[in-house]
Amino acid sequence: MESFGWIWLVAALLVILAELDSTAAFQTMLGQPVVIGTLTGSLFGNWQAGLAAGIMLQLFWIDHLPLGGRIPPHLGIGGFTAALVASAVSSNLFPYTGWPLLYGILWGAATAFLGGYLTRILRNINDRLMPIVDLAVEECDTKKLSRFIWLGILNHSVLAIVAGWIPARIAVSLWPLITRIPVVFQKAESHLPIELFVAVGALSLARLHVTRSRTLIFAAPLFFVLLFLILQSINLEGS
Amino acid sequence: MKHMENVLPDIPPRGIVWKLGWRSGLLQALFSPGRMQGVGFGWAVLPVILRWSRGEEDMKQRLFRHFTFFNANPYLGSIVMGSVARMEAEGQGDAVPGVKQRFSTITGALGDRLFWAHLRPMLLGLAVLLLATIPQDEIRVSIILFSLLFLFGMVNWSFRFAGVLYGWRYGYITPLRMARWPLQKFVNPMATVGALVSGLLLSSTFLVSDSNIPIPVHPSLGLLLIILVAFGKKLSPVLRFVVVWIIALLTMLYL
Repeated sequence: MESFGWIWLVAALLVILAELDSTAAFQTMLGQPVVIGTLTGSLFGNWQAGLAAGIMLQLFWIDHLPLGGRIPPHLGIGGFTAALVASAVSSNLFPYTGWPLLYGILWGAATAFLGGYLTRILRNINDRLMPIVDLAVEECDTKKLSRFIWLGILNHSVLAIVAGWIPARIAVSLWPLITRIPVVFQKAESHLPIELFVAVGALSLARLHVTRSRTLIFAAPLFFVLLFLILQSINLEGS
Repeated sequence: MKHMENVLPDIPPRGIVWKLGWRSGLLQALFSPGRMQGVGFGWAVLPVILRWSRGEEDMKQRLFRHFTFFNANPYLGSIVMGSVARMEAEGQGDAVPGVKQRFSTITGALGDRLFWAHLRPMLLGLAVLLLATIPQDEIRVSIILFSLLFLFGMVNWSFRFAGVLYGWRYGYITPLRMARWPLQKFVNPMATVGALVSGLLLSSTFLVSDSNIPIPVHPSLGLLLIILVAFGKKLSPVLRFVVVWIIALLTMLYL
């Protein structure tokens, strides 16, 4: 991966977009890992790795809802970092194997937690701005009041850079060191079991939507697949 | 209290819908534990305050009313804005704090269930299911992701702009109207689709197409471990990730 300045510049814009979209502005789906991951992967020349990282993180903590000021792991930043790291390093040494993905996902999760932690700090900082807001209200200074909103957007942008972009740069520059670990060389062709992450995601989704009355709907596909696998293994034994 | 209900039309003045609709998107820009979305709400209704204020003292009172504590579901915030705009226009500003408090409860109850717990997870689950199971190429992936953004965007922006109209139309009785929304009618089908998607997604992990992987040893072993460890009792998000990441690492090293 040739780290051209403009690519990192666009990456900075993407992580800001992901962060703003998550809570501060509009809450569309742009900041979701599958979307931002694929975009980031495309930027770094490997959209498949970006998408895979997005799929792995998307549903992983979906049962942790951001209700009443609660702050779950920051999926926008996590998805961005995971996708960037996975796609940027995957063409470096072992193209499209499990190691870059596993490495990216580790960084993605770390930055998701960092993003959540920094969001909490940012909100406490916002609390300290309230006396100044009250002063602006007292003065009926509507321009100043508008500036507070843009200050909030700016703060979130800085948070995105600190929690997502900088760790991603560090992770990419550390990758050559990781590849010197002998086991990484020996298991160069290893396949990452993405299914484990998807399965946890499916169970997280099930925790939200499966009630006693919907158990059958949830279990029916599992039943048919298990039946299929059993029949397949019987056929194999028979032949 | 001055009542001008009969004078005001059911549609807000030109520009108000657009201004409140897009500003409702920045409700959480300056979120704080003390006032929650208070500053965002105050800023969003600034056009209303500027339009109907009579003198500096009146404006100050109106500003103080809106830059205080406020918390609502962000997708339904525009309904509150529309309702409050009408009350301000009618000169019923003194009743605004009480009505906003009622809105906090009702939008929380409705919006959190509708958007956070059902619509978003269901659409994301569906997208992940399609992305994880169909053969991936640029066109298919683009279509799925675009459809996800489009479908959710339609609902999101419809609520934001139509919410202003709805709130304006019913004014201070909006919370009472919202309490009668048939939420269950929308939520039940979404939960059913969500349950089906989670079942399909989980079962798809058993059917690994890569012939290099010893089927079904690794997925079933992994799943068994996950079910036992991650869902036997409630794990913290960190621990959940660590457990699965380590299982994935071990699978990569030893299978």
